[in-house]
Amino acid sequence: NPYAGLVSHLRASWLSGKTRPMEYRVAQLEALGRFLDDKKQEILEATELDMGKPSFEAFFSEILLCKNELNVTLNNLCHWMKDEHVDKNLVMQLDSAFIRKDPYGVVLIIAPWNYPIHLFLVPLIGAIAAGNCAIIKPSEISKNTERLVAETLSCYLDTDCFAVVTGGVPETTRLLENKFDYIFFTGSPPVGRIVMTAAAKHLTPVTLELGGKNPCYVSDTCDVTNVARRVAWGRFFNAGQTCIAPDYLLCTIEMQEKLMPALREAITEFFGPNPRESPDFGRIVSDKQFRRLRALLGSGRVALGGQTDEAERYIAPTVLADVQPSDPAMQEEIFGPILPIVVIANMDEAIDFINARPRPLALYAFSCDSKIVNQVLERTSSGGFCGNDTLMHVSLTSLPFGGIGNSGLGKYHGKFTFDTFTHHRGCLHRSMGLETLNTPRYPPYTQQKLGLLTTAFEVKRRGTCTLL
Amino acid sequence: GRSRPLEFRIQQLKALERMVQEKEKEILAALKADLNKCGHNAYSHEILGVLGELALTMEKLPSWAAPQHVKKNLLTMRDEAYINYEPLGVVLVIGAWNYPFVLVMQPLIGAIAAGNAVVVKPSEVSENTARVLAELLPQYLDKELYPVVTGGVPETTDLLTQRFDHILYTGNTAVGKIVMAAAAKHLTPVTLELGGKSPCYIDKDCDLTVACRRITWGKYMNCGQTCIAPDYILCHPSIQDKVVENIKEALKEFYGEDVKSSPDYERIVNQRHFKRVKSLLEGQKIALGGETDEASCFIAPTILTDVSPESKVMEEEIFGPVLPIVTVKSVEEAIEFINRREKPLALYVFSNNKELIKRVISQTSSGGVTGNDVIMHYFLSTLPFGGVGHSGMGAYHGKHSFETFSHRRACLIKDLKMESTNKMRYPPGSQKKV
Repeated sequence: NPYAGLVSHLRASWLSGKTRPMEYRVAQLEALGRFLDDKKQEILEATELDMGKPSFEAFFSEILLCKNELNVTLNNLCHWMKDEHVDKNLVMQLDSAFIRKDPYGVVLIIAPWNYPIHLFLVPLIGAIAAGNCAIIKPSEISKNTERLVAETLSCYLDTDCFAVVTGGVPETTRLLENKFDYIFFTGSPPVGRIVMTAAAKHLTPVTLELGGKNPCYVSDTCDVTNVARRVAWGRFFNAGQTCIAPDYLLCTIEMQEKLMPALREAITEFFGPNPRESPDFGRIVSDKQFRRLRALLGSGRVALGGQTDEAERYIAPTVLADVQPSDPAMQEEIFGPILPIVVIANMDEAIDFINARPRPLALYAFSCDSKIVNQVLERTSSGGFCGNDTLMHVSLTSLPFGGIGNSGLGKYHGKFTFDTFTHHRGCLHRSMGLETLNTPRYPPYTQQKLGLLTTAFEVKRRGTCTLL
Repeated sequence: GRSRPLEFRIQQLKALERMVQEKEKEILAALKADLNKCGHNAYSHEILGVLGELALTMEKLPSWAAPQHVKKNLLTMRDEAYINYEPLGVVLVIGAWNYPFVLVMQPLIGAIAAGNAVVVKPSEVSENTARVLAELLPQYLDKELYPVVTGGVPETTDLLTQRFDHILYTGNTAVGKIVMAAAAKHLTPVTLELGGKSPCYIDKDCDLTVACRRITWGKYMNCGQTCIAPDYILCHPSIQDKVVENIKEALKEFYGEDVKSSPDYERIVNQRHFKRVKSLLEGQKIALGGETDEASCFIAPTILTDVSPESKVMEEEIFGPVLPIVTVKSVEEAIEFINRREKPLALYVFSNNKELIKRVISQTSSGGVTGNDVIMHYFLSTLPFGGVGHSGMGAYHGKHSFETFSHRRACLIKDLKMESTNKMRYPPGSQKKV
């Protein structure tokens, strides 16, 4: 077991209690902040090399959003760490009853390549804040970022408690043989299953942030220009390599007709007449992904874009019209700058279409009529939902971010990350006195004792009243 | 979508309440047949808790289920941002045999309250309660939404190949791993309420009479077959004899001179477990008890002293009326001892010294804790009840049940107008926009 030594080293540090005091956690979190500040340029360069990530995007997702999470955590850590006192019943009025926030121990964070800093750093913030030790396994596919993290993170964090492990599938498989106290995985559903199966051997709790096809319903009553902009922004950000990107559009044939020029406008507004020359449009991360995406271009018909360049791993912002449910583009999560439009007759059909498929990580609905937005929300299920925009629901740290069903289990961001890496321990601290109050629970049992117990423990239903 | 409206859920919960009230006799009879549980015990451990949970849930459900509006930032000031509580879908509740009624009912209550359909799989070991549940639930609840599946290992294995949206399993660690592995195939979230050896540290500075009475109650109730029973005692050698004396007194108080004829003392659930628990006595110093009767699965309340940490009785969860005492020289030694082992479901510490209790809690990990008593944290539904590490994952009771069986869906509803604020995020990028 090549990682046994590393894991037991971290476990020894964990058992020493080093990571528990608030001062320690704050110091490590502040060091993470310095990492982001000091290495900002290197991060922008590495992500550009890895997937042509525009520096505007990289700054936004890899630096700004991460610093937000850091600040929310640092601002609130003291409060989050405190024992949470709970309401007591009659019998326990004089006792102390609280939820203690215990760290789990040694946790494992496995990150993917598409937002390679953000997707390990934000979970790590919660893991540190909650008092754990952590092993970070960045993706080998975003290899420049992987190298940056492996070489520099150790200069900022306590190497007794935080380690970076690099490698591909074989290394990750060996790593997963070890016992961790929590595993946080971001990636695809098939690998999610492998991770959870490995976790089951040690009864390790997990959070799995997976993916799927995020539907985007556009009703007939909407401001076409704004819809086109917001959808195009969400779809083409990071060249479509975003787990919460709108994966496909559902609309009527009339709306498809209206949307096309609006989408063309938006794409031109964003990336100019030749997106290949725009510094604001990314590239596909690998040859394998590029070839996979290129094969999807045969679905429906190319209404916008469609150009590719293998040497640059460039795929133009593309819209496919009249896509059939059986087409290749509708069989897998696209994860690229291709937006298929599937034509439906009406909202009911759209909802049925969505519900016939695995529950997605995100779901989008656009309409000027709020009733329609609400209907789509109420009649579907998804990790998260955004009405009249894309992506934005994950920028609010007070909202939980996570999937459901095939798109994942667990949630994080803001306090939810802290809670993810915390064992909420129910504690009741009683007094040794007042022993007579306990008599009804002891044998020998009598009807009278039962009556007393019932009175003490019973929760009576309050009469319902209707407020006009 | 039938199980979703609040009115429907409350109607089902009310029906459950009627069932418990109207069929109390049948339920108590089943518990007696399965575990020789007397009416008082059965009522106070199982029925009372269920009625309380039902009343609490019906009262609080509207507030629990209401969308929770969250703090917004500058960019979302004019938007609606909230967490929507939604059902997960079809959930599976697998019960255990030791508290066969409440360990099915309490999860069921939470699952119904959260708007799910529920498959109920009671333990086949407590076969009378399983039969009663299979008969009664369809009489009171919607027949299609809450089916009861009975059977043993083969049936449960089959059931676990199906896809569920959440599985709540109560049972042992070994099967917990099997359940989680099966769930992994479908990416099904799980709540595992497992077990382990719950330690009980008795400090020299404490009222031994009171402490031992409380420990006696928690250890020997249900003939020791309680997942949060104090499994073993850690104490200084100088008080070991006094501990034995005090427990002996409490036992007399509770069960009289002849435990076997007390109507309030239960039996081991079956021959297999009887043999298992009996074998733990081999080679041990029996300070009290030790009598057994195979025909009736009777094992007397037993205390073992000067137990070696390496002995069999200190390896697995005892789940029987056998209480080993392991001596330690100090509270530090006790803490080290506890931390060398798997994280337990419950941890108990008795002391007059509040700081000592706080220290033990802070330097150990466990599902839950009760200080200066045993078991009781289970009865406060505002506390999450669950394990950690080998003792489990996830928690329930009260609102925690509702949350366990709900999906918290993040919702952000924006205006389709007000496009100008969005311009700063669109390409082309610029320093100003940054």
